[in-house]
Amino acid sequence: MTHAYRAVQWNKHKRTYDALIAVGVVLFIALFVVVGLLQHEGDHAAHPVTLILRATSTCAITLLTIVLAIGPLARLSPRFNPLLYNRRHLGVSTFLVALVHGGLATFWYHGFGVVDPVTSVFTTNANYLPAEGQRWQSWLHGFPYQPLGVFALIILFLMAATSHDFWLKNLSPRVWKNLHTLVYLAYGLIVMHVTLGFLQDDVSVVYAGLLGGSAAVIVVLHVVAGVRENIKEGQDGIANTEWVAVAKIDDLEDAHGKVVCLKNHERIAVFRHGDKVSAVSNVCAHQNGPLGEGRIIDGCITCPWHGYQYRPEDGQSPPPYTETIPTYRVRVEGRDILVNPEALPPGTAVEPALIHETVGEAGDA
Amino acid sequence: MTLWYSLLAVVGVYLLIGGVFAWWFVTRGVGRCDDAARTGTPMFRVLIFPGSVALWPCLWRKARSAPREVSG
Repeated sequence: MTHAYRAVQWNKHKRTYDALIAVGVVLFIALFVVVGLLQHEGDHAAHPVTLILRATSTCAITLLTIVLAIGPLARLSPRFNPLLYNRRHLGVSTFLVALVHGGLATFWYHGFGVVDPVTSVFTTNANYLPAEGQRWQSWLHGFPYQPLGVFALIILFLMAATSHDFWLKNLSPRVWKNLHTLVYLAYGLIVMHVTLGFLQDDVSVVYAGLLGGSAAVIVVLHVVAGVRENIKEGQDGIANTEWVAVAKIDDLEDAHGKVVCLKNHERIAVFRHGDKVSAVSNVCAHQNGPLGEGRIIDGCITCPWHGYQYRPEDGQSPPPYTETIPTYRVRVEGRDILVNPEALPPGTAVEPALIHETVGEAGDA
Repeated sequence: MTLWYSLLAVVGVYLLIGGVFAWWFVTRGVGRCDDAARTGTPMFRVLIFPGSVALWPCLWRKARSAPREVSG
């Protein structure tokens, strides 16, 4: 059974979350401009358009920093999981704010010449390579930083435009994942774009400090989350070896899963694929996404958050990826699916349980 | 600078083809690739339009390899 696509799968929480993002963005930009107007008067007064440009750029960087921080934060504490689950909308908001910045900057600084504005962005300053004998400091001081922002905006656009589940399915999870990993390149381009802009425009060192601090926070969070996961790995284990009935065959739709929680709070994702049943950890190795809420695409369990994939029979990502998740022994008795709650080491092959033909044709509603 | 003019011209042509393709794709072709998109809402089609313009070669290849719809 398939469901018709809708633009957004709204629910009460997502509406609240999106309303908070919208109000936050508008307040941020409005406050930034008002404070800027009040702070500088007379000869030092900044033009309102300049203030809007600075406000939107600062807002977009702040949003992107939050987007990149959510992943490692959720790996450090499950309290951040709700943010992770709604991160796509924050990413789209980041693109929209960056688009306002890029569009306004293009037409404000390049819209009044004989060359069309987009071409002008790339051709007005041709100092892409250092001149002979030119010092690198001098070269950087005159480097055309605006195209860097354009390239970052293109990446943000591609990510926002492909954020719908339609793209995850039709580009293939692997391509989709690789495409969205480009966010780190976009962040690097933005850091360079802003840093070179600071160098050339003599903007306050406060901005430079905030940008450097944000980038440092992102790096530290990713490192800490990675180190902590490595330490934690191998410490978990369940001594209970009794088989537990976790679901009925009829509960499972083909290529879909069901999340079950054991007494020790361990969450297991049980999947039906054709006439077979497999059980794996519900926790994606990438960012703790709920695998049981995903589907089987191209023979692999596909995380609903970022498209990471695992083979149901051994919990391993298909080559060339190397992520692994714990697997569980599973068997079918009558219409019951039983799981042995003892988690096997990540990537351990387990023979799927077979659904006998006499069991019935459940799940084709 | 000639390089930039040439590159931007190529990008312009690419997007122009993408725009024409995307119009066909979101109105008719998308159902070939994905059953769930066949009855997708109008807003869903609007939402995938920009991505279809940008990534039209991928979708074109997918639409070509998809089985043709049987009328009636």
